[in-house]
Amino acid sequence: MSKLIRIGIVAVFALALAAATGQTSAQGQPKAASKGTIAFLLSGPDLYYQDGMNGAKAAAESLGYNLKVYSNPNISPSVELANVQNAIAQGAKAITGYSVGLSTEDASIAAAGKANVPILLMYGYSPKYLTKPSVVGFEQVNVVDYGKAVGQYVAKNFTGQLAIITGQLGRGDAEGYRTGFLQGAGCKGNTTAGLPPMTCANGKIQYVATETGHWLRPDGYKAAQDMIAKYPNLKILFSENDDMAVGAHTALVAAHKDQQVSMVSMNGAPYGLVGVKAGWIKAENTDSPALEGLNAVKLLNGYINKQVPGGKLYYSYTVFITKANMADAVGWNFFTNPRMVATYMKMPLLKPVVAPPGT
Amino acid sequence: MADPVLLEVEHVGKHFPGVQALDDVSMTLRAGEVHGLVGQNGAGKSTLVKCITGVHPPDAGQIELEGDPITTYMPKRAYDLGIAVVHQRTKLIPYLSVAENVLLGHLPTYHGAVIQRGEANRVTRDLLKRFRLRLDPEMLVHRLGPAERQQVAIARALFRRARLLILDEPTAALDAERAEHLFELIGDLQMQGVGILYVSHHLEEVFRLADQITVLRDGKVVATRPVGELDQNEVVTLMAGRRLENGIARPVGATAPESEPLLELDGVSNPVLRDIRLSVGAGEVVGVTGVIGAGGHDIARALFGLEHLSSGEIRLLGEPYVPQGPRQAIARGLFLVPEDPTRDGLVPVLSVAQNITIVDLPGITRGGLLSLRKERAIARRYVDELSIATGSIDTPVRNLSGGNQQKVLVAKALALGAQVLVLEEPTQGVDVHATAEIHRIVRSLADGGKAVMVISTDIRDLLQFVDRIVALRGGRAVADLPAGETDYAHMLDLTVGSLGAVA
Amino acid sequence: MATHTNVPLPARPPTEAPAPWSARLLGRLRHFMDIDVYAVWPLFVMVIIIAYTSTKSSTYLTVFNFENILSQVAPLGIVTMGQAILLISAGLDLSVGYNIALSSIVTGLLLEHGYSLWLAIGAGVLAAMAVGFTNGVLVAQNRAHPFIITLGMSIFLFGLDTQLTGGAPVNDMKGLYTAFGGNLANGFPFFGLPTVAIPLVIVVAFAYFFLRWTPLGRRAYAIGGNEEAAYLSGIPIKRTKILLYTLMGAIVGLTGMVLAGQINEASFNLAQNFELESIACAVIGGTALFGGRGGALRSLQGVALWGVVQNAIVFVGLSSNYQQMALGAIIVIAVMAQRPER
Repeated sequence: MSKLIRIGIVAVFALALAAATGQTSAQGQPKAASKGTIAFLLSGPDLYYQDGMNGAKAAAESLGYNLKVYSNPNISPSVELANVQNAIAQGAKAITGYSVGLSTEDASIAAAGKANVPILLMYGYSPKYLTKPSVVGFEQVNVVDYGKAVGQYVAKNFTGQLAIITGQLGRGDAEGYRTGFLQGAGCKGNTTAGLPPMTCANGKIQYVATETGHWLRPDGYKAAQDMIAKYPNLKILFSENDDMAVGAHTALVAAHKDQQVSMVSMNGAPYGLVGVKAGWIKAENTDSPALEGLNAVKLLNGYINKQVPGGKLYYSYTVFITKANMADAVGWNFFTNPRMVATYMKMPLLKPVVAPPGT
Repeated sequence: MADPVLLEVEHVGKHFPGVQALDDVSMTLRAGEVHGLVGQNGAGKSTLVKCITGVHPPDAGQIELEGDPITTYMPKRAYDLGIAVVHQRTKLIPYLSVAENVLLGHLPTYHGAVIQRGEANRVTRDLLKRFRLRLDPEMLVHRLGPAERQQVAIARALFRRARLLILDEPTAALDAERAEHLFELIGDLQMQGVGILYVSHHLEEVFRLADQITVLRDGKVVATRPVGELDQNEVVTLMAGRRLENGIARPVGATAPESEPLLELDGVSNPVLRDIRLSVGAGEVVGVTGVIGAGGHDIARALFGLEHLSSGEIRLLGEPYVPQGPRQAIARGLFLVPEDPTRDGLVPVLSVAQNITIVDLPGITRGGLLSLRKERAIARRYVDELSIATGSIDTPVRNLSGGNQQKVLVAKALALGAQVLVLEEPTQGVDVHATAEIHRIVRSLADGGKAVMVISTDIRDLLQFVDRIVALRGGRAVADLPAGETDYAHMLDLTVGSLGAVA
Repeated sequence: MATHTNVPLPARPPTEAPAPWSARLLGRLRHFMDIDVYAVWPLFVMVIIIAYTSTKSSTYLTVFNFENILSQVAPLGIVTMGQAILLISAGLDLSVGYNIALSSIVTGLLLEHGYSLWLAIGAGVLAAMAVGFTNGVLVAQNRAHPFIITLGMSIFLFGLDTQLTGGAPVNDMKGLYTAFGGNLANGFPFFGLPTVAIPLVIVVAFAYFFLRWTPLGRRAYAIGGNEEAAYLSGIPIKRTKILLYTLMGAIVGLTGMVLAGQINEASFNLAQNFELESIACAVIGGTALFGGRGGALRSLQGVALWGVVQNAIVFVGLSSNYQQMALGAIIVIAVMAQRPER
């Protein structure tokens, strides 16, 4: 039995490996009349990043480039550096995508600068990079404003106890959203630290709890369970992304509290929009990673053609939606629709932020 | 003229929860004396040794070394004072060399940082030569056998100028030749004024080497006498508090020549064994002996399918048998009782009952499930039949003494209904009474029609209860005799002496 | 059975006096309950924590909250039973997290494409069992430690999971959600008891029964306690290991169904960290890391403690970071409390 089984298992693994690599290499097939390759750093298997990559790919193809994806599924700093170096060695005309964290960003940007390869990253902005060589810029949402819009809506429409489910703390964005939200809701206290208890909206809202959901649905579920048990009269729940919101909603349904609690969220993911349509997400601020990716490639193309200067910060296009204006949301998967791609390609380039924070 | 007193144990007592391990124990050991310490398992020998070596302090009384009471209780202190212990399983560092182990803690260095290897080897070589120990200082310890490791431990003790050397069951892992060597070494040490505390179950050795004997029973000293004033039987009686039943079992004598052979080996060879030919019949107990490495254990392992055979034929219960592994051997009715119960034979955390039934789970399985009631019935039966001393059949087997663990192994064989049994060193490290019981059990197994092969380096022990004895030398069977037609000296000659010498 | 001697053994020397009936009763009780006094410390700690937390928050001691805890630990508890069985046999499975995800993804994708519920469940559980079987074969064949093998499998499954879904979760588990997403209807004796408790009870009972009463369970203890002795006693080591890992695969598959139904999602990150958490819970409960000791009930108390601690930290008002620290501390204490048995 042993020898045959061993061969069988190796064969299965080899086939699976081949299938997997076959898929990814297919993504990098060179097209005819290519203007060169743009490298895309894909840091993580989440849908958000995948769709960002797909948007970039649509833009690249439309402009005549070929997009080569460098995967970093385990979100490992060393893999990111290796990816950047490989991209440079393989002759990338430009680099975009997502960096894993603040420390690797340094090395990645430095490597690109040394090789004179223009680089534009999504998220990870810091003013010190704007002056580095080859840095075309950064594209990301204005985290504070992004949260603020949601906070303002909440202050205007709801009263009672409020809880917040945050994403993974420590990267800056989760804290930024929370800070912006609390400011928008008029909360009195240290909104930068963002910890309860705080009184908001002229006393109409009490901020009582916050727990992290690590951007994940099962953890959002647990967080909602714990918070509704501790505060049975909870009225408002703000989730920093749609995955956690969906998880929280499932938990509230199981607890028969979904009618009592009003949820607001951020992201605009397809499953989040389902919630808006059904009414259990009252409102959310949305931003399409696909559009982000598309715009990033457009900007890089502009830089290569000397139409766009380097060293700028760009805010992503966001839309605050409720059930009423759902149609305004930019979907995450418009890239499957060539007409929509064409429409977005024709739109003007993003305008740089006049006074980026920190400068 | 009496030699100076080296060790004075005065009214020492030691209490553990539930048991008084030592009770008013007093003993005197002089320089240059070999003092034998005997007693049944659990009599307090190892506790006394631990008190002397500083592992734990006595609750009462005191211990004096050369007149100074020992007050600090740490093993390192004992070493500094010149007390050294060599245990049955010596604790050396396997991946360091002999020299590094011998000189441990006192390696010559350049400014305390870098080891002077050459110097270390030279010092070690001198030491070894002085005591006629044939070891290579640079050899890594994990490649040495148990006998050599013991020598390294002794060398280490000597290097630290031990004045009192405690030897605990030193010949357990030694064959006759190496045991003789050890006895010579002990003689040398005596002449140099080293005092030796010799703890052992082998009374003949104690009688041969010791000047004084102390007998412990239930934590108390029942006698301390010069060796000349006692004989072995008296000592055994003192150890047990009563007479040993029927003395030591006598050999049964030649078996009926027509008993059918249940196990036959013919021309069996492998890298160690050379053309082995032997057979064991129903109702026979055959002993196989020889020095370590002569092939005894290889025969056992090969029969059980644990080692490869390059040629030869084996017949089991009349049918051809090609060993493939323990499972197949057991299915064919052959069972091996391995040498070290805790390591090889028993699952320490499981209970007595569970260990016995593990060999035959289908036997207690009814309708796909284990019948715990049946298991308990089987366990109780064998605990009674073999007189296994345990508080309950649910006691984890690791809590039993060595002798009783051996009995649990035998119970396994019985539970299996095996027809052919191979026992490896069944009485090693087992006290006198348990040994006698094991002899009786083996004989009764044979009387029940089973074929039993006992592999042991202890010739004297074998001669007490086997029907035939086979001498192995260098992988060959050099003699196959009825027990009645040979004796210890003769067998020794065959296995190590000139009589059995092979080209 | 053995035919015995017709020569009676001579009178044997008196054995030790049999232990007093109280000691024997205690021995039988310990054996039956598979618990000894030292191993019940998690329960004491739980009582203390519950008492303390109830003083900190008025909403803590409610049926609702404890049902929450139950629903939070139920999937983990199911998988911990399987992990305990493996640990007892001196093995372990680090591929649990992504294997749970795999079974949920297979089932979810089939449901999405309109296949029947039972077919989808069957396929999901089979997928997990195939992984378990592969683990078992690799562990049985190689001398390499199961740690390395199952870790490698975990990495492989991570890639497989993300490849199958492209990173996008399956958002509707249909029949599974109906089954496990909520509570038993009112009117039952157990109003509001989360439905995930049912599979938990079933699997715990199964694990207890399996370890106590089946030959395979007994062999697991033997192999874990002393593999060499088990081998020499005729136990088929390879075959037993393969069976145990395949059983683990089945338990993992079941966990996937339960968890996916509860959260109503199938995704690669459905059960991240479940492998370490299940090992930690089993260890806290007293199952030894090195094999041979442990049981279903005692591993369950590890899971219970885990759930109580996490929940208590929220109610006491500490930040989530303390949850991580507390859990880590418990694991260290639990391992230190395991007395070395050699």
